[in-house]
Amino acid sequence: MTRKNLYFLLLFLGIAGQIWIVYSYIKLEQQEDSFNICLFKRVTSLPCPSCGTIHSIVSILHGDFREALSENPLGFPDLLLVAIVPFWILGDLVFRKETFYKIYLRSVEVLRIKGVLFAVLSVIFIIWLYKLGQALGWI
Amino acid sequence: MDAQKADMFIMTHAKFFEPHLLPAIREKLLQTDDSKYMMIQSVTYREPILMLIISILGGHFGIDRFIIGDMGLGVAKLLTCGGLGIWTIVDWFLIMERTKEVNFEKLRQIVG
Repeated sequence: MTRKNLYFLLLFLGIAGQIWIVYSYIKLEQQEDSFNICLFKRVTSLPCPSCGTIHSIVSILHGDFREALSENPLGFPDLLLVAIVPFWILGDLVFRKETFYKIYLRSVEVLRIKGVLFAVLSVIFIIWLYKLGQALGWI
Repeated sequence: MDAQKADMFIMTHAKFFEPHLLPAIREKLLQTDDSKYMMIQSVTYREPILMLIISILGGHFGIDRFIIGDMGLGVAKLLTCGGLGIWTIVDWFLIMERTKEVNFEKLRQIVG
């Protein structure tokens, strides 16, 4: 993927994610349930691997890490991604550098090594089983 | 490579590439050595329409990005619930073009 396309896609998504987090934070502060955008959950009424991330992120912002972990551990990497990536890309665009693009290409190389992708997917699968267990009352 | 083989390749593989790149691909093929013809033929190109269907059905988990080889974006999409649902929809419009780009990159690696 060219640098320009990648930067604009991720910049757009990162800013959309930040707006969504702020919106959900305000909604949850008012004790209203933010509406459910997860297509998978709407269709099957089962949680997807990253359901509960927004609740988890809001818990992190409140400093309640235990609650965040029990909601969905993926809240931590997600919050990091959404908080850092847009500013990193903006910095790259302003200073005309390619630091983020190089890191991205390197990460793709690492993921192509046999076993790495499998490990990442296994972790996500275990989290999914945990979410399913919560939803179906196994845990 | 002779013109007949190059034209045959273009005719059978036109759907895998961006239309505006086809003349350039033909030029490249004409300059390429005949011994590479089998290699060019045997590469598995991804079908853009099939990728669109996969994107609609499994885009929520980033499966489309994984299949075309954008592992980094695939993991990011999986981690963020399909980019909070937004990325899933954005990718319905981007994935076909991206698939054609990836096919072209594969061909370029052989042809040079």
